[in-house]
Amino acid sequence: MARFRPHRMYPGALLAQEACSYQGATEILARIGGRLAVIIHSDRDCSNVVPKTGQRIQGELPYKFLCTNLKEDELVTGQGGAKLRRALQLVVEAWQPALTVVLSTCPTVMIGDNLRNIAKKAGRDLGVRVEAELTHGLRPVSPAEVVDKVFALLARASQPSGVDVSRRVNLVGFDLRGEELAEIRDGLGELGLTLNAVLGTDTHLDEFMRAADAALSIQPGPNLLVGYGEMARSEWQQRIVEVPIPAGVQASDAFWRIIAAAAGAEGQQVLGADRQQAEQAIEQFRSDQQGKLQPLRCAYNIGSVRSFDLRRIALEELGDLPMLQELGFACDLLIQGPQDPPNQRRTAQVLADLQCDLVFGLFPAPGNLVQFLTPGRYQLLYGADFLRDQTSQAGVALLNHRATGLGYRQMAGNVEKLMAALSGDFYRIFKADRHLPVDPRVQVQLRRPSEHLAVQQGTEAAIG
Amino acid sequence: MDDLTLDDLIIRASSHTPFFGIYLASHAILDAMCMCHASVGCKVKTQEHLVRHDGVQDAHNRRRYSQLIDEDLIQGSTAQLEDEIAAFARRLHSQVVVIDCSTPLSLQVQPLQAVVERSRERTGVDVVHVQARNYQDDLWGGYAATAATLFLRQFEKAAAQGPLPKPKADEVSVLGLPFDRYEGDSTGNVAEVRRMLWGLGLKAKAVFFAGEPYATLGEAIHAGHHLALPWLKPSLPSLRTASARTAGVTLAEPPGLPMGFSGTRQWLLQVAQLTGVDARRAQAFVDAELQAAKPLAELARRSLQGRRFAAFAEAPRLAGLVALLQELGMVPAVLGVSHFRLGGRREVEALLAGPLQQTLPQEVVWLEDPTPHAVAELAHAGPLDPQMDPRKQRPLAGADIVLCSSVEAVQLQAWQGPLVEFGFPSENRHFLLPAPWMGFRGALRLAEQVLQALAVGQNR
Repeated sequence: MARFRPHRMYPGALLAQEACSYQGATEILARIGGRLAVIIHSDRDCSNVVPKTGQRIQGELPYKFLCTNLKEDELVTGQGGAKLRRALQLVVEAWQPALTVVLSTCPTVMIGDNLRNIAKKAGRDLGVRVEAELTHGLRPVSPAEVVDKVFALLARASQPSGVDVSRRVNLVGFDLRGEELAEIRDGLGELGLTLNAVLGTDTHLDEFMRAADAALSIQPGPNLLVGYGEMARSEWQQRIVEVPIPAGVQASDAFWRIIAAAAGAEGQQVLGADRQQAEQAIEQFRSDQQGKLQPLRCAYNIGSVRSFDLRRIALEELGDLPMLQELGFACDLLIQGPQDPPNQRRTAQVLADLQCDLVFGLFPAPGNLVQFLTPGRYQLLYGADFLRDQTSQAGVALLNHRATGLGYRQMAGNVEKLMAALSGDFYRIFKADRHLPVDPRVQVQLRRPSEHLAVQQGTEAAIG
Repeated sequence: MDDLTLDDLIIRASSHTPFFGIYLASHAILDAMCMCHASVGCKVKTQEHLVRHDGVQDAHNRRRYSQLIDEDLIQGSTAQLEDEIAAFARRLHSQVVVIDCSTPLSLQVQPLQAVVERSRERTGVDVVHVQARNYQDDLWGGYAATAATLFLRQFEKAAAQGPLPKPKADEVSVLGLPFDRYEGDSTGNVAEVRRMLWGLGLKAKAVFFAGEPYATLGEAIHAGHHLALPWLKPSLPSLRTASARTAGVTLAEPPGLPMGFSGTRQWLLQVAQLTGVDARRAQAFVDAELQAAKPLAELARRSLQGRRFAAFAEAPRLAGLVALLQELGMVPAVLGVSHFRLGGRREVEALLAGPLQQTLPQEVVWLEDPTPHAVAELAHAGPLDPQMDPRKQRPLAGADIVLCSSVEAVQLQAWQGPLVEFGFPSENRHFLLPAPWMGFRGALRLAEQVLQALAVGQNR
């Protein structure tokens, strides 16, 4: 039986997959730029969470990731601490990193090496910044918690420079492409705001050092970056502004409405021309689809990918939904998770709390998704790319949720990608097939949260 | 700790441990499930490294993890492990479950035989635990250990049913074939090895591993001989001991490997000798194969003669590749032996000087289990040292082409010349049709790829 361990923290990412805090920290730190060294205090095996391709092991320093490569005798005889101390000295003397982060893993947590003390003392002796984080996979956490902790760690040393911060804002927790960022910068400019720092998982270390120089911290919400937000409030007296993901026109409108209000420009419209073009793209798509035999129906996938991009996991991964809905898609939510009644009810409640009453189904493992892709029901699955083997079996087009862009200006491109996904001939040539027989223990059940909760209330009333 | 150096802290291509090797081997059985007895982050250590390499069979679909948490280490983790095995063996219609333990579990040295037996009973399918040492071994250690474990398991299962069947003289099994994806290179190797053995009159029904259903491995009990390839080396000592104890199991260790023209010829003749195939038949087969390949090999040689190459791979694959390219007149400039469990420079030189019948030039630049930086440096043009051979100081020692895995390809990003992605992993090159690198057809196919890459000028 799969374990059922809902995250107790971070409402807003309750449906996200659980994560190993060590693996999550490496995944985030791998993309952070700057003179950053990460020492993995572990046996050799755990260093393999870092991919060997894609240039993640090396960074601006000759190596970003290093490993104490503890051997069995070193682990069991308590030599780990001494090895870590020596490793810190070697790395600092060779490369003088701006920041050295030490991460623990399951084996070093099991033997109880005191990373924090070693790092603190080494930092003091060597005169450099060394931060240690107790990370491991023995107590899985929400990916949101990992992001929160790592962002707080990276920004901790930031100090106000003395500049006037009143019109300066930080954008925290969004991973943005260049053109998306340009649009936000323009919008902020129209509101008389200056973008001080953009803190995402691909940000330069120096940008984190500038975090203190802002009055507002704009973050995806609700309830993400809890620790970081507290630090920003107490250390730098920043106001936290939680915004929705600006996917599509209506969500972008809401995004700017909240920022404008926080900036004292309530009601001010921004990016008017871009908004108009986005609306036209939506209208064009809707009119192209009119007259087609079937209404557009999309299977919107949640919980299948373990992401550390808050843009992806905020709002229970529902952030892109408004865009699909305004394009005319009727969406069902296909959520990866255990099918037992407590989880059905919990999921229904999480969705109801977000005022989402779309039909949802829980599928227990990626390989069972195909059972939910009933022939003819969906034209599109919007979700994780790795589910392609499932959509291929069902003959349903897949649009990777990472392919679409945020903001008004990306809307035309999003429409193009949707059209391309929907218009291919591939599944007319290659028919649907199933690789494995249907698993009879998987219940293909699609219901609205309100129906789930009504059934529950009815049962309770009957018992009462 | 005073003797610790930065080099000791580097994450290398060889940092993969048996934990990954066992997963890779189970991926190579079509209906196997790899049950990682591990915590949540460990799943990344497996699927992450295969997901872009294998474009056909998704890396995550037949791998589960037992969701180990802190309290399991204190209270015991076997109940959770058994529940996961039972649930997912049924769900995935697995025919064999391979238990693969992460480091915290190997620190605990927890015996799993009882779990294995209960799980077999509960699921009705085969369940094995592959023992491996994550601290000492590499991925090929794990791969070989899985092959050896599953090979011996076939005899154990059969013996439990009654006397073992009489081995058939015309059947062999193949042990230690590296199969890492369901694409034309791996499937092509299986087909080519089988084709050549059939040319000797031998049927190779069980191949460890071939990307085929688990049931095919059961055919091993009928084989008269079991041919060990060099990738089985880490488990050979234990397998020799175990085989010696099992009546009717004859482990055959033909020297060398079926790569290159001469290497394949020698290997087949050795196989024939070890399995009792008529020497004239074997000679006639290899002669016919070489005769058919000759005009194509000539074509390749005309273009490749004198071209210099750099190559990186684990020891046996590297030796076979060097042998082939030298046969075609190419000259090795840089040779990098990745990983360590299958050997280093000494093993490559021994294979070349012995069964592959090749002599290496003196001036080859060697790297053994190199750091990413050591590989990268070869592609950087720097100021020349007057004390050293200037030829060796040019990018990649004057190579015209590089053959390496995606790992070295990333490290060699400063190299702008032709590059053939070869070995594990190959994340950018994929094969839709047979593209073996073993056997006579593999030699031609590999030569063809080098020709094409040089013709294009740059293939990155």
